[in-house]
Amino acid sequence: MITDRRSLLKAVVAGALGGTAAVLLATGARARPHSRPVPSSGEELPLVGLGSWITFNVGDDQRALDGSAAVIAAFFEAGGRLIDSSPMYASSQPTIGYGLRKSGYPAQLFSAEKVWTSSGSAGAGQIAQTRDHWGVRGFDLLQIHNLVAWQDHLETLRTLKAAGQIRYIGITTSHGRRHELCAKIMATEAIDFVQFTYNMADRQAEQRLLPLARDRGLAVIINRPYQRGALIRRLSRSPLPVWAADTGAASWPQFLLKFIISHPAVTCAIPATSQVAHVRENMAVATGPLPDARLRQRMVDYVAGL
Amino acid sequence: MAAWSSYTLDDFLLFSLPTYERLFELHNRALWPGHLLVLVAIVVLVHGVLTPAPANRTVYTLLGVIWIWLAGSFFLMRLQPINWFAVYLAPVIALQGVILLIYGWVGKFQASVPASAVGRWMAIGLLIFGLLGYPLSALVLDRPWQEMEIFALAPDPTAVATLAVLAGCGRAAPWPLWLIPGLWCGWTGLTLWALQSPAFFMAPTATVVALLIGLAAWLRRRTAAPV
Ligand SMILES: NC(=O)c1ccc[n+]([C@@H]2O[C@H](COP(=O)([O-])OP(=O)(O)OC[C@H]3O[C@@H](n4cnc5c(N)ncnc54)[C@H](OP(=O)(O)O)[C@@H]3O)[C@@H](O)[C@H]2O)c1
Repeated sequence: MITDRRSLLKAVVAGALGGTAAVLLATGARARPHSRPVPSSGEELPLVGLGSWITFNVGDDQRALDGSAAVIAAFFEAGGRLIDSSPMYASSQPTIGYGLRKSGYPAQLFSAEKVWTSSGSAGAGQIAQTRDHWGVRGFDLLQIHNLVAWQDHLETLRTLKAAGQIRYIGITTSHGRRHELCAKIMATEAIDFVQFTYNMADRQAEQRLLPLARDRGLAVIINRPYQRGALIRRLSRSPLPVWAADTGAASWPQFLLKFIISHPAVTCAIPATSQVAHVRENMAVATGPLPDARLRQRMVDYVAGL
Repeated sequence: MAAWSSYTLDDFLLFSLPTYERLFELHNRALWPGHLLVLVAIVVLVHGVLTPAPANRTVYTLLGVIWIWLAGSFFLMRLQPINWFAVYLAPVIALQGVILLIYGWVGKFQASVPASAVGRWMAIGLLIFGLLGYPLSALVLDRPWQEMEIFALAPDPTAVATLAVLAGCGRAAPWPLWLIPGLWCGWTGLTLWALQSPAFFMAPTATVVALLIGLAAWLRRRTAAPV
């Protein structure tokens, strides 16, 4: 998070120390989540972040605002850093701002936002409005949502990065859409992050985007880890395998998340939730053991057989 | 994967069912005691429809004002914070209000054929469903009573009651008046279906019933001599 010059300095120190150490400093010693480095800087990011589509779009409902703030507080308490949002998610941005104010803008926050407008010239204005919603002076990561007007926005983001208003640039897609264009941008443009969908029911990214991200040294954020909850609902009709404990998972959501974050090219998965119990359950996935390649294959085979 | 074929209704959702349903509780709280005014509007509407010589101008003027009020109070003030698309919906809803007002002022009510007795009573049944059934459905669906969707304050019961009036409470109205309420009922049905609400069928079914009553009245008009 870039709220002022001091936090900018802290962020730089965090990068130098390695993110996990900085998080430990910031939040006290607990079971901290595993992290992976952002290839372009070496800054460590916990393997599980927090999405905000639908779950945080609660308008001015005070009860739900407080519920969302509690989720955000629990996320930080569990060592979480990256919160992802977009102007497309309606009131989710002000809700995050509310939650951050209540949590006192923890230094560990890694703010991941997006620009989402078909007009290239409207990008800077939209980003300024997003900053107001969050109550921050800059963002750690600014992504081009669904590659909309990506050439124009890339220019804007480069200007903002040069001015120190954002630290990283990224692009996003989801649902397996526009992988061709995504791969082209990943291969040819100077970006730091890429965000796309990868989960046990949609493994298309294993073919091209995940290996390409590794080759190009890009950090990878995984969206829709639970297919917006549908995957959990579907699999919950079947029993967890007895060997699920070997993966470190105690429930279907944990099983699904373990699979994603154990892919070596994944930097961080961002499940969204409106419930404190669920954010704790999700964050716990980043603390235990991670399945190796053999166990990952066993997970795939088991789910395919259901 | 072809980009457009990969989209489902689900992808366009911006909010959850609990958030949407709670919107009505917040709306009701914010507008209380305006509900007393709604009661007066309901009495005027029902009286205007049930009198032997329906007070069409009053009924359509009242509905016109209500649609314009809905555009601002519900779509812009209440829905817009959780659904940015409401900014585009609001003018369409207001337009329906304007169309109803114009029809109320210049409509040639005497020139059209009244609905049959059956059609008229079916339309009155539909009107009662819009005014009473809709709010009460919250209880049947196990929602808190504070979340009741109320005619003139919420769009779905207002659209259903409007369609009932258009179908045959007075005389079957010209088709341009049907377009926006009918489309809204389809839209709300799809939204609720994507949100997995058990109430998804209510507004679309009411539209189909209204269309059938209107169609019967139209067929009568084609065969009957002008009154
Ligand atoms: N193109 C893009 O840039 C793009 C596209 C899609 C998504 N995204 C980002 O990715 C994020 C995640 O994707 P998503 O929101 O579509 O879906 P998701 O994270 O796959 O699923 C969210 C759903 O899972 C449920 N859930 C979460 N944790 C759970 C747990 N431990 N147990 C049971 N249920 C649980 C939540 O319900 P509860 O509220 O009940 O917990 C919620 O309904 C988004 O929020 C957004 O930030 C970006």
